[in-house]
Amino acid sequence: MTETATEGEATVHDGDVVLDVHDLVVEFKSGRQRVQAVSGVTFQVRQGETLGLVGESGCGKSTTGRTLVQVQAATSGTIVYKGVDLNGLKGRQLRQLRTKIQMIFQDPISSLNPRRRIKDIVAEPLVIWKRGTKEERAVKVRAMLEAVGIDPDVAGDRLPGEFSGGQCQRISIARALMADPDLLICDEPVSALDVSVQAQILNLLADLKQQFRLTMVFIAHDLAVVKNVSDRVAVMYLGKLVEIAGSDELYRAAAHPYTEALLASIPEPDPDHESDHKALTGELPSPLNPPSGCRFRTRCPYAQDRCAAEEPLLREVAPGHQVACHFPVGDAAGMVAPPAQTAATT
Amino acid sequence: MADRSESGEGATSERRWARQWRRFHEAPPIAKVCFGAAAVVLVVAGIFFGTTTTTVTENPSGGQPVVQSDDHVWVYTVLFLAVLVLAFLGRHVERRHRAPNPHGLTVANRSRPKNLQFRDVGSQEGPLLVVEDLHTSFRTQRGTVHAVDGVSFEVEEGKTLGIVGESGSGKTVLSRSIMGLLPPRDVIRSGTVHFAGHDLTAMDDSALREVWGAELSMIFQDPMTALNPVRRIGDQICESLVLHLDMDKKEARTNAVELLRSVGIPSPEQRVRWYPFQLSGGMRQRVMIAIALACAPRLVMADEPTTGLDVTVQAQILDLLADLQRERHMAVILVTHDLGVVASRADEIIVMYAGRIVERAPTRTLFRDTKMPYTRALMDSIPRLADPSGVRLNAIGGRPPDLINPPKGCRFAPRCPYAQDKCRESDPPLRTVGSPDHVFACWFPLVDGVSTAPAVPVRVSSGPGSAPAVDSGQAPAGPTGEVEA
Repeated sequence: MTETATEGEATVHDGDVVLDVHDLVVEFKSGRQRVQAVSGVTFQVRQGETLGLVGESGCGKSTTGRTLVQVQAATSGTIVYKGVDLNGLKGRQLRQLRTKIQMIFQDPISSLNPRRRIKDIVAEPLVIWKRGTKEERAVKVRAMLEAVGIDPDVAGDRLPGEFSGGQCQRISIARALMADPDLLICDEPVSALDVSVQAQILNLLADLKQQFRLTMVFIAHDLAVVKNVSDRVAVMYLGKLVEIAGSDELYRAAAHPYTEALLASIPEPDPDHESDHKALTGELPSPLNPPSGCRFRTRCPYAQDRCAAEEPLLREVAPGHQVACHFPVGDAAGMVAPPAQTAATT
Repeated sequence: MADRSESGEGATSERRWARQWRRFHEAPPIAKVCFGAAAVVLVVAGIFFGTTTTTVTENPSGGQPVVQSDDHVWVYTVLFLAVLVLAFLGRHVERRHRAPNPHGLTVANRSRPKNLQFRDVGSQEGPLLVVEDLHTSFRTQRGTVHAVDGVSFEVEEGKTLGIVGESGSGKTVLSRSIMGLLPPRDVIRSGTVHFAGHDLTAMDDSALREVWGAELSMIFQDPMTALNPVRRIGDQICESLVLHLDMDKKEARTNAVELLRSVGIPSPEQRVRWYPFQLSGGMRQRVMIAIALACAPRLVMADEPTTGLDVTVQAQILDLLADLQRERHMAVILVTHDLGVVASRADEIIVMYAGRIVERAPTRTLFRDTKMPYTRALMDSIPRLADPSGVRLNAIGGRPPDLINPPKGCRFAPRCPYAQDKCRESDPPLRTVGSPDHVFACWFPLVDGVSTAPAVPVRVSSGPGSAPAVDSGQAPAGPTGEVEA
């Protein structure tokens, strides 16, 4: 299955590629069986861009993110960061490279040590790498806390428990940026926050991206949030990439029925908003035993017999817009699913 | 009365006996005769047993007692069987006599048990829930936190009310104050909550327990902590059915399966025996909804029912709640921080800020003709799909104020782009302009999205490119203001 999937690749033709993920597979042991959390994902991230990774929980987006920082080892495939394959790295080399790839986690409060002062938490990356003198570190901590909107005089000596979720996320971001990374992996950084705080953090990330010339991979389940921050968006379903496109293009001409359903489920703050998309029914199938052919076919309103028999590969339907579907929706592909005959779902 | 041991585990033995007695009282004469005869046989057997044992003990010889009791074994057996037969006969007749329980969603149509005080709600007039000048404060080491500060509103039967606000705005405390689910100590609550004509604030816990789950129920935010992890989900649904609707275990089980089916859980016959950890987050929240709706309540409070769930699951859960509400004609209070969630689902929306209502209007009016700058700011902070990507969001700077020492005047003034001196000095009352159901608390309400404040200060337009809002520096609350509960 993974062999066939590699033929369709989300290739980028121009721009310098910072991160090149090729046919990434991550497996977990589950009793005697093996579960593929990520089964053959291929994408590139260009210098200075933000790639959004969207999907329901259980689709493998977080596992992909964790593999990029090598918190989780890949089973097969390559992750090439500026010419170096991360999968082969060990020990000191890997640790050195990790300063360039940093991560922000979902739960801001539990990702900070509750017994340490804020300025110590933020200074830690520098302490570990023995960079600068104590005074130089203190100056940098102050500057970084100011950059994320925390007053260092008020906050520096306090403990994480004294801060709200939004402020803890700001502190996490400051810590991630201390080692001057190039690539920032954000794993659901705003899904635990209120909408008002969410907007503050998203704006902050946009500012910092400019200021520090960052490349970002932004993982979230809310397509509206991802669209706001990303240049390109990759949609994942059950360990596979189903669609990848520029974020405005994705919204205008979603080609995969799953993307369409994701768009439909976002609550619009408008009482007269009538969604013309079909909301998604049912649950994610078990990754222990994924459906044959197209993995989305069990929940797809347009599924045909062919979808069960043959796995769709990623193919280009418009410049920079790739989709893995036999019968893409809309005009993007110029082809529409034939009228549904028999229900192909099982 | 053979099934007395089948009552819910949650009921106290006292109440269990009271219920059994009531059931006996309501039974048809034949059943009464059966139960009576069984009781008589039991008593007679007891006396007989007593007399024989007396004779045995009076006999001093060693081997004799064994022989003596052996002689009576058949008598005991016959008496025991007679008691069993009579009891089962009585139970059978009594069950037949009771109104047969139609399966499925028609639980709502069941005649209500007589012990509930709300039998007469059908005849009661006016709104279902009337909250008047509700205050809730907590005594803490730092001082008194005024979490809910003079809130009044009404909910009509069958309607949906959305309560929206940031975390720390008091919306969760408000919903718990209405329910009466507050910690026993260090809480001061005043004001009244009239539900179906009865004042909930005047009721003691045992009276409230008759209302909770049966007439007024709650869906909590985190289904994993709200469900009991070591009990099967079926048992957890049965609990309130047995307690409030007087069902026996078998009936309750059938109903639990139907409830699980109605909330869209596939193969409910098997799932009924599952434990919460075997279900996904969305499925758990469906179980929570099934528990909340089990006794067909008239009002359901849903406190952030979809926070923490995926957007796809969120849409499913909200649609399910809306369908069930329509089917059962319940009123729903939907508490959330996301205006997008309530926009297409609520009839009326209340916006809360710092423990107070700052705007209340029918949903359409609220979105079309927003008066309060805070409501507008909340709407603007939601990322819209229709906007091009990379567009800057209109975040609200700063944080909600410290509720120990709320700022003087309008509580939103420190974060409001249009704030004037008047706003910082005197508190705006809730008032109306034009439509009587649109209430707001602002000195300079927005008209067509533009503030009526005399001179709009320059810092409003500090939009793109400016430094991100500085939380700690801007907050007036000082060093203590950031401590979260």
